[in-house]
Amino acid sequence: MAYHTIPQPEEISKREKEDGMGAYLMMFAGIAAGLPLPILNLLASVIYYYVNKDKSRFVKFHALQSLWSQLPTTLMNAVLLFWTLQIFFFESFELTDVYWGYLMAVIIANLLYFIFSIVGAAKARKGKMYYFIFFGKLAYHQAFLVREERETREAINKPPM
Amino acid sequence: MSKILRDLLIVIASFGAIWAAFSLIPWGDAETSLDYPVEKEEELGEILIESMEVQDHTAFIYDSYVDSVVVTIANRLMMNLDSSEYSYQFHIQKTEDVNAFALPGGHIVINSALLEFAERPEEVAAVLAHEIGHVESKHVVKRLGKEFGIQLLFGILVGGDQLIINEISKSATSTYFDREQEKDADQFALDLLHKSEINPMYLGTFFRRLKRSYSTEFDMEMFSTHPNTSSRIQKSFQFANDSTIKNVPLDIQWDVFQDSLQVVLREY
Repeated sequence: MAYHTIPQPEEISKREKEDGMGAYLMMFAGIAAGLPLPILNLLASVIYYYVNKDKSRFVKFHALQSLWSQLPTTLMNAVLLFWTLQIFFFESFELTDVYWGYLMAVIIANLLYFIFSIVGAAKARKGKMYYFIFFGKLAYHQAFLVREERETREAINKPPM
Repeated sequence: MSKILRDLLIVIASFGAIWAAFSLIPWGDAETSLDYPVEKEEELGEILIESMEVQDHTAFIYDSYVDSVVVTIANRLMMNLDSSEYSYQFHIQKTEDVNAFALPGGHIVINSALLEFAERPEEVAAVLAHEIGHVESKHVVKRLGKEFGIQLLFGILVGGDQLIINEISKSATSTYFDREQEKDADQFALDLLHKSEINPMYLGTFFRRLKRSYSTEFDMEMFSTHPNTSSRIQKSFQFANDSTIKNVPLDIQWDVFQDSLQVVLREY
């Protein structure tokens, strides 16, 4: 599989760097607005990705990495919310050690996500790539893979005959 | 691609491992290993009873007939309690709340309103069995240890600050047990009632009436912590049609007792 060359910091415009950073910072605003329903931040990330994906591969990479890493975090938080409500509000589940274990694991996952996102934002601002475990590779693969069909696809807009 | 998959497995495995590791920590029973000797617990219970009487001006009822009835009920349970470390003492306090609670060291306080509310002595036995369950599982001292620290609980035995004793007393008489502890005490009560040849369904009849009477002001300690009082009631009613359950009625004329209780209460 061939990949496009990764741009170096000096080749990236200030605008692209800021857009890359924005991908991570977006979620902070999203989380603030989305509490306690942890879905708005995900929605914000998806919109951000679609708005910015065609700007450059660098921006697309950061937007994707932020989006993919946000997905499991959001799911875990939603499960936690559901579980907590079932226990404390609807009282249909028992309060177990497995629940406390999950709560701790989710807190740790969220902390890691926050830390990595802040680092990611700082690196993007400097025009650097920064790879999260798994999500970084996935985003790199999607943003930088050379796609044959796209390169050879027939142009829609053509010069006059 | 294989590297991506490998990373994904690492992420999932790490999350699973963290979850599993934290699940193995016994969160609810962090104080299980608490080492508070029974003699100390009994001393603590006496201090709290004394504090209730002297500081809070709790009206404990001392009446030989009322006492004898409670002792008759309690004895039936005591005879069937295998090897308890505690020597139980039952105190009756005059108050309007339908409630009973356990203090450290086998001191059980029964509110007069509960005796008035119960329709038969077996219902009182059911509530007492529940409280005995809390004592036997050391729920009270565990909770106080968690709340105040075990050092402080030792400390007040050798002459503690009255303010601290008041705080502990307030907590011991008013705050809640957690759900698991309530479930344990229920299970204990059902077993003990069964052994004592009292139909465990009386735990249910009592709670059901109480729930109906107080469903609007559902603020009593014994009941409000319960996840679903109805599931507890149902559990006890499973015994109702069990033919293996023997029910030997307590030899107490309950209406006579309640009438004399009224007379006694007027004096306090």
